[in-house]
Amino acid sequence: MIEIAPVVVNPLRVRPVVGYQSGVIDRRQSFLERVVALPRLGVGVSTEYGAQLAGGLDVMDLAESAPDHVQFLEVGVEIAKGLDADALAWIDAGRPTTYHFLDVNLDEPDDLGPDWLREVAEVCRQLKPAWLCGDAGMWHFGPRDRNHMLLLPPILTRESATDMAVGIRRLRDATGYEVLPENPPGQVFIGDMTLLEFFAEVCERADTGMLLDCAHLAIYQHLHGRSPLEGLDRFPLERVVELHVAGGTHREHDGFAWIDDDHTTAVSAETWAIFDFAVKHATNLKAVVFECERNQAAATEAGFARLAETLAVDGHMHS
Amino acid sequence: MSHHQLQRVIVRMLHDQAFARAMIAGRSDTVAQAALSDAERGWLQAADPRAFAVDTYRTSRLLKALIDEFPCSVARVASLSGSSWRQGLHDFFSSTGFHVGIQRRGRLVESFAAWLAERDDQVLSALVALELSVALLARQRSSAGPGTSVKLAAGVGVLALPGGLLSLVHAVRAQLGDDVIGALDGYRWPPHQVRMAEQERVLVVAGAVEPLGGPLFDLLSCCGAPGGATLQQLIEVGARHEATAEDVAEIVDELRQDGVLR
Repeated sequence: MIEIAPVVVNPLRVRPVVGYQSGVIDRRQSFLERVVALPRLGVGVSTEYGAQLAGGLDVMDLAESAPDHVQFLEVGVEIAKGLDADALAWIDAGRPTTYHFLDVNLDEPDDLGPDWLREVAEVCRQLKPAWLCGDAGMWHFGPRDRNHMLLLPPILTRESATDMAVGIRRLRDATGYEVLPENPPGQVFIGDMTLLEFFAEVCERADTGMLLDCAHLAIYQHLHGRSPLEGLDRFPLERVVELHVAGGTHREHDGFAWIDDDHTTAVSAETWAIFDFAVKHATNLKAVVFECERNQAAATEAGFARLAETLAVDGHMHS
Repeated sequence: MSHHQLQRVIVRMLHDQAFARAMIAGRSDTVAQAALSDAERGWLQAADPRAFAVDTYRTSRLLKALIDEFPCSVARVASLSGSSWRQGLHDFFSSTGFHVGIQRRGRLVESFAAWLAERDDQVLSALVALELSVALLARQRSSAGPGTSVKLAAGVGVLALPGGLLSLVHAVRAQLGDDVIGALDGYRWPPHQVRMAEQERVLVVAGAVEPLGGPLFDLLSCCGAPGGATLQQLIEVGARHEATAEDVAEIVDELRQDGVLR
C-alpha cells in the first residue's frame, strides 16, 4: 500500500520555464530525483500532423488569444510524416513542447531499431521537447507502417510489463529524454493484472514517470464496472508527471456499451473525478493536456475553465 | 505463448469477426488456439465478442489503404469478379494469408499482394508484382552512414516489366482517377495487350513509374545491387554502351542531383 502525501502546493502553480535544459539524463539518479529537474509546463493542448487543416484547433491563434490555455504544445509525431507547418511555427516561436510518439510499440525490441531512433533524435533536435511520452500499447501490427495505425492496450501481464520497461529504458538511453508511458484506451483488455497494476509495474521496472490519461482510465474503469477511482489509491501517483483530459462519446454496438475516445469537449464526470483526484495527489505533476485538437476554440472554453478550477487550488492559477 | 503472439491473435480477432467468435467459443479448429495456454484461453473466452466489433469501419479503412497502393491490381480483380468485388476483397481478412501474416509479424502489403496473386491470371500477377515493388520502395527510409559506393536513393528502384504493362497501368490509373473505390463498380477493363514474353524497363521514383532506356537501366541496376557500385564498375557498364568514363561520371552527378542516386 502506498501512502499518498497530502498536497500543500499545487505543483502547476508556477509558470512554465522556457529555455530549460533537456536531452540529458543523469543515470545515477532515480526517477524521483530526476523529476525535480523536469520543467513545469502548465496547461497545453495536443496536435497531430495536419490537425488544423482537417478543421481542428488553431493552436497558435489560441495561444495568442488565451495564453493560459496553451502554455505548451504536445506534438503527436509519426516519424514517417514528420512535423507539420503548425508544429514548425510553434517551434520557431521558441515555445515549449512535448513529443508524443504515435508509432512505436515499446514492448517490441524490433520496433526500436537504429534508423527509427536516429530519426527520433533528429525530431528531438527540432522540437527540443521537455520529455517524450505516448500511449504504451500496440500502435501498429507487423513492421512499422504508415497505413496500419491502430492502438491497442498492452497485454496486462508481468512479462509484457517487463518488455515495456526495457523499451522505455532503451528509448530514454537513446534520446537522453525522459520517456513517460501513457495508459492507452481500448475496449478489450486481456491479462491477469489490472491496468493500474500493470503501469505501476512498468514505471517501477523502467524507473520512469507516467502520463496518466484520465479519459482512458475512465473508459477502462467503466468497461470493467469499476468506480472511476478504484485502484488509484494504490497507484504511485508521485510518478505522474502529466495528465490528459478529453471528452468521449457513449456508443453501443449490438447492445455492447462502450466509450469512444473521440476527443470531443464533452468530458465525462468520471474523467473529471479521476483528474481531480490525480491533481490532488500527483506531487510531481508538471503538465496537463486538454486533448481538444479536433474542436474549434469556442467549444473548448468550458473544458479549460473546469481544468483551471481544479488546478487553482487555494485560489491561485499559474500565478 | 508470448504476449506478442497473444496480441497478434487479438489483432486477428479485431479484423475477422468469425475468427473472434470461434476463439471466444473455444473452438479448436483455429491455428492460434493450439498455442494458447489455459490462462490465455481463459482470458480470451472471458471477453465479450461484441467488444471486438465496435469499430465497424476497421476493415474498410484498412482495405481502402491497401486499395490506394494496389489500384490497378484491385481494378483487375474487380473486372474479373463483377459485382461481388467488394465482398471478395473483404474476404482477405478471413484468408490464411492475412492470419499467418499477422501472426508472423509480416507486412500487410505483402500478405495482401500474395493473396491477390493467388488468382490464376498472368496480367494480375504482373500488376501485383509492380504495385508491391512500388509500395515497398515507398517504405524505404534513407539509411545513415557515409559510403564511397554509388547507390540508388531511398525509394528509387528499377524494374523489368512485361511488354505493354506500363501503358496499361497508365490507362487504368487514368480511368480510376482519385476515387478508386467509386470507380470500381461496373469497371470495364481497357483493351490494352500485355506481352508476357517481352520486357520493358522502368524507373520508380517517389511512386511514379517511368520508362527507362537500356543503358541507364544497366547502370542503375548496378547501383541497386547490395552495397551499391563503385565508379569503376559503372564505367565498365558504360563502356558496354560506348559511353566514356567522363560520360558516366557526368550521368552519375546528374542522377545524384535529381535524387535518383546517393
